[in-house]
Amino acid sequence: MTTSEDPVWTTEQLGVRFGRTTALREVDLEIARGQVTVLLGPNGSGKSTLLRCAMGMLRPSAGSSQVFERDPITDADEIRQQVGYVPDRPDAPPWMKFKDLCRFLRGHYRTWDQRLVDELADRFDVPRSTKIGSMSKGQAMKTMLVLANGHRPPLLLLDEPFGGLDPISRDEVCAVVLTTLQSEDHTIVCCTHELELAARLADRVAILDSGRLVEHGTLADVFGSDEPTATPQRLKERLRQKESELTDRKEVSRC
Amino acid sequence: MTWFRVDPNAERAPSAQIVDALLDGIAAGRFDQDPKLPSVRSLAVAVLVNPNTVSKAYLELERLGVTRSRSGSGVFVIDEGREIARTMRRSTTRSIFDEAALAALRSGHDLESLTERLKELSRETEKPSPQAAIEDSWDQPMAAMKKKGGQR
Repeated sequence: MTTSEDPVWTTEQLGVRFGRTTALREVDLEIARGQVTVLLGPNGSGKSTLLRCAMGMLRPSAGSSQVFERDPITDADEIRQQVGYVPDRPDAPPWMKFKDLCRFLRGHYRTWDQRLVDELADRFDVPRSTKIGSMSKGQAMKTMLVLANGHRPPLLLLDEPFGGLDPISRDEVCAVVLTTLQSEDHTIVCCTHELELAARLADRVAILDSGRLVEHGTLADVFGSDEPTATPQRLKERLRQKESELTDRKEVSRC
Repeated sequence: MTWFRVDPNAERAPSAQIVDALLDGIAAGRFDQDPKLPSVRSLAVAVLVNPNTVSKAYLELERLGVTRSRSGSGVFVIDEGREIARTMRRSTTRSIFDEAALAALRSGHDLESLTERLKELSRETEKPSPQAAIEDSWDQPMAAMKKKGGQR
């Protein structure tokens, strides 16, 4: 896979506030084309908020965010044609079935590829006539993932795709994600808590803590070696190290 | 195609694990009939790692002189590949053996019993391979079941 110079998604000094709470502050991020970036960070560190900014679902209170050199707020329709988004919980109405959703989504996307959707659904045993609300978590996640790829989006955003899944479903979802990496310049940004899956998937890791981007780079950058083995153990150590650095800094600024 | 798995918890890098597994497979003659390695993307999905990790492993195999990539048609084990893979596995296993043998000697095993054990192991490997034994044991209950079904 190649990394071309033009980033798919950039943010500059991005900030998001919900009333008095600051969800994101001064985030400068560049997501390179054709890479899998894994967003790591504890609950409430701003991972989902960051993804929502890319989709134009949230208005930044400071700074800017650009996807394919467009503003996600003013160009929301155009961005949706080029981005696939899978939220942490299925956002489709629970009474809809896979085939209903196909029929519904087909009308909204210029580049909808029903053959690809059918192929993926067959390959990963997506139930076609079960209501989303009656599916298991794993089935629902696979369904949403397959549908999010229906319009062949060059950028795929995944919010906790492995959350609450048993090990077998997790492997299956991981296989779907990897299968969607079919073309050279397909870009994925994925938040997860699962360090083992992060180690399997990531080209790059970005670490968020209390709304700040504390680390972003290739596995080699983050782990500082030529032969980076991003074992879950090392990821954990790195996260802990970053956290303690941050608390040190906070204490210094308080003095 | 998935006779091996990649363990991200292991200290050895995932790409190195793939190289080891493929060298083992090549040395064991898995690619004698069809020398084409699986595509990067299909292997990535099969062992659940980023395709770039597989690409890295494939580059390493090519650097070791075991495979060659033909543009557009894929990666192939070259004719001498099996011999090279065997030689490499031989040197790795030799160093593992040396280490284990030294540890055994140091812990007080006497030379005679170790030599005897090695001879025993060598006789065992001359017998049908463990894989074949497993397949046999699979066949027996299957045959028994078929018989039972027939009687009914």
